[in-house]
Amino acid sequence: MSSRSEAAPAEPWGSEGLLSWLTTTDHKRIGILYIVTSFAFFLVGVTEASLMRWQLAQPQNAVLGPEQYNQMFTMHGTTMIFLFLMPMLTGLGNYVVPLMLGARDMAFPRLNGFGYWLFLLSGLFLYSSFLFSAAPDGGWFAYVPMTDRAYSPGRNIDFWVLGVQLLGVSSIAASVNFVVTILRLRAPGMTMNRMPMFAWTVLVTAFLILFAFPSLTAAASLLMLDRFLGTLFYSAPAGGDPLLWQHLFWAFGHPEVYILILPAMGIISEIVPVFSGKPLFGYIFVAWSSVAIAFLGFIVWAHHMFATGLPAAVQAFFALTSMIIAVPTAVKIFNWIATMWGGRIRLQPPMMFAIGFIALFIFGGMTGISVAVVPFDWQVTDTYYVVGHFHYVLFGGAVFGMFGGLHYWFPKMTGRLLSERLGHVQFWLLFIGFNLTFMPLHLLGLMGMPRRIFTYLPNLGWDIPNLVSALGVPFIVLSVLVFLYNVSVSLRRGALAGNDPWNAVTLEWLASSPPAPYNFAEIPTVRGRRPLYDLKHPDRPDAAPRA
Amino acid sequence: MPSGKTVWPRLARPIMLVPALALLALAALAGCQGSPLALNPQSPQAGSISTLAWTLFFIALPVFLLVEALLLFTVLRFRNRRGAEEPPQIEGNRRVEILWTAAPGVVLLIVLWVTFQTMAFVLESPPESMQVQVIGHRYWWEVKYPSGNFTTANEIHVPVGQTVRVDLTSIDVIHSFWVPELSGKVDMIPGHQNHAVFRALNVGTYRGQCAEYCGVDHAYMGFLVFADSPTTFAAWVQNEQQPAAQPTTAAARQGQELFASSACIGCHTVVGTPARGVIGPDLTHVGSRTTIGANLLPNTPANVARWIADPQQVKPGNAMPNLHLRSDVVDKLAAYLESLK
Repeated sequence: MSSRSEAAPAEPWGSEGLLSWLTTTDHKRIGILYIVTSFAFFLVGVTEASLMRWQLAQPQNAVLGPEQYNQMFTMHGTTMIFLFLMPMLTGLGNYVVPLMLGARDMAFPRLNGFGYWLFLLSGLFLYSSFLFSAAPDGGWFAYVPMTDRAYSPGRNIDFWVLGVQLLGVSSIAASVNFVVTILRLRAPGMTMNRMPMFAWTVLVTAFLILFAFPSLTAAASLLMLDRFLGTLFYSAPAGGDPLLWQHLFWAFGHPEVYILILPAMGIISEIVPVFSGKPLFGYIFVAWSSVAIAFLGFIVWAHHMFATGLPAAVQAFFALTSMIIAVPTAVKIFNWIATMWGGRIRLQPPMMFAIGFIALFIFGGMTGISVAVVPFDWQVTDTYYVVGHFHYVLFGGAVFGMFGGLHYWFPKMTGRLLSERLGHVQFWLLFIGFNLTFMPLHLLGLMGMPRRIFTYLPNLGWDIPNLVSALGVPFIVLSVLVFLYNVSVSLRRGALAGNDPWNAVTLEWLASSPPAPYNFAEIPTVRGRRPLYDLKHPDRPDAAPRA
Repeated sequence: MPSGKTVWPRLARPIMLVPALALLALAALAGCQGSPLALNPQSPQAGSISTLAWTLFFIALPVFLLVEALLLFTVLRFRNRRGAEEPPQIEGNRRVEILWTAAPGVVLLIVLWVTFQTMAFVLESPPESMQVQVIGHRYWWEVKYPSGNFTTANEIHVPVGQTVRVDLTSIDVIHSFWVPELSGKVDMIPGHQNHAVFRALNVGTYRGQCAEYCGVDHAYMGFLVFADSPTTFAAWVQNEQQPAAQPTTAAARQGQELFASSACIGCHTVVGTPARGVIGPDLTHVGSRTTIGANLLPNTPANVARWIADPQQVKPGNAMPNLHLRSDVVDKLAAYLESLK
């Protein structure tokens, strides 16, 4: 490769103090800013969820009124998707990917800073709505015509639609940067075929964002025109169509699910081989299954709309595509298990979260197939069954993957190890609390409880499952607190990590912990998929895959 | 490979207990409580979906247990032991990977087949179906019987054994029609006409609820479906086709005058009187309904009075304003409405 990334642009305000963080273009610092900010939004989202579960713990409870409840679930969904999971995974990618590739920074360091600050400002803008008693209340899906001016005359939806548009710009900026960085800044010898799996998933995710967000931008722009200028794109009496919103929104919304889960799958694909002491089983299958999921992800959106009266042939088509997407997903599960098979599995916290991810994702994936079964979906769509399903995928999957990644890369970012004992305590609290909270929701859906209701009448049999679900919440909250305590203690007193505490195989573990601003004094040359393994075993390096 | 065969059954037995217990819990909950349970079907349409659900369950259960057990076994069997050597560095095996790519495909083909079968059955709408029209409002259900030329609200009566086609649309935002024991969800979308088809198998009352988030009172947008015997149904239709009954008590008569001379008639219809409003529910036979407020409260004089006195206190966010009526006026209006059998 001819274009070598030079050292990061000189930090104009030095390398210490607040001003240096405000002006930084170092991918590692921007990564940390993303991670810390999105984690703060995670805490807000957890608080909103806790209030909702508390409200629903008993029939006709009065913790929240209907308006407040509707704001809570709207902001919970919007926060967890746009302000927590996406930027968190962007942050991990930002920190780790250039290091993994043997690059000195992202391709466009200033664009990188722009993406972060725009994300932060959009998040603050969305939450400033609470100061005006106008928090968005249309659901994260904001279905028209309910979100049109006629039925939502307040500023609530204006905050949402503008905030989401701005977040789209931020995500697209970050994605362009990832695509160029990954395609152009890999170390000499690192062909696509030798690239770490996390970089693969970040690349695929970046393409997903670039192709999915325009659909959201279009949908939201039409909504803004309807709301601000009085156009009638979504107004049925005027010849517009409310279903247009749903098609545009879900053409973004379903790829979005894979935007959230693919990077987490990438993290798992890094952790499982390292802690099993083996290479990833079936690199090619795992890499291309991500690509397959991304392609298929664009042709499954109408499975969110099976109850809208689409023609039977259309429903059949989307049932078919939605089921096919289970195949590349299953491939990943089997390949991870095969990676562990015959290995030397070290059950340290990153690996515990990875195994937790796989265990929970199997369940979430299977209920996912069930909602692709059109007639079954007619019964369970818009019920708590679906809420249970996607929390198994996005919480059991993406959030467990994130915690695995944070435990895995914390030593690289800080130079210190997290406490393993606290890591295990955190894992088990989260695993138990998660299942306690979300398993009963499947039952509630089958028992006829719709989503997005702020309360319910007694004598419907919904009391006990809701109470059980609420009882899981303290476990989850405690688990998050244990993690925060672990981080705060380990930052100061954790054991020194050294460059490579996990006996890992990818290039970030070649750099010092934390890495110098320029990452590598000398750009390493790569001959296989596991450059560090080759360095540690010069006598028997990996057989180099075809370039 | 090492002793997988001997460990498997020992692990499998306790794991098999979990779904069995979960099923028992489900049955217990279903049996002793009044849930509108999708798995307690009362129509052939809901029945075919329930059968499909169980089919899926029994296909998924062994797959789920097998994969989870495989994961658990792998973790336990190959966990690190002191002094263990570096494991063999195996990078993959194309043949087994193709196998486990193809195997789920085969299972999914079976699932797809039963899916399409059930879809065809549930979507079938015989031409001799009885037609009912339901229009969604924030936050109640307008129910029209085109064949009988009358309108009611929030309580749908159908004859047992007769296939019913419910034509669905909405006047404002999107709502969704859902009676778990009789029919899966069908969205009610402004500008669209959708249909739910079902044939109630047994006499009974079935709970329905709006399933698409529609605003503040989404939680309180319920309705009831009464599956009546043919004679009961015919009598009900007969009664609904009559204009409103004339009140017989003094209080009800005074209530009638108050009703006709107040804001009530701007929104409500009482057939046979000057009340022709179309914004709120038709009240011609409101006294004969079992609930008020879209299946929120039992239809008793006290509850009706409570509603009229301050609808926003009973169901905050509904379209009816607090009219600030004196309590004696409220009582007379309630007496009148209760007389509209």
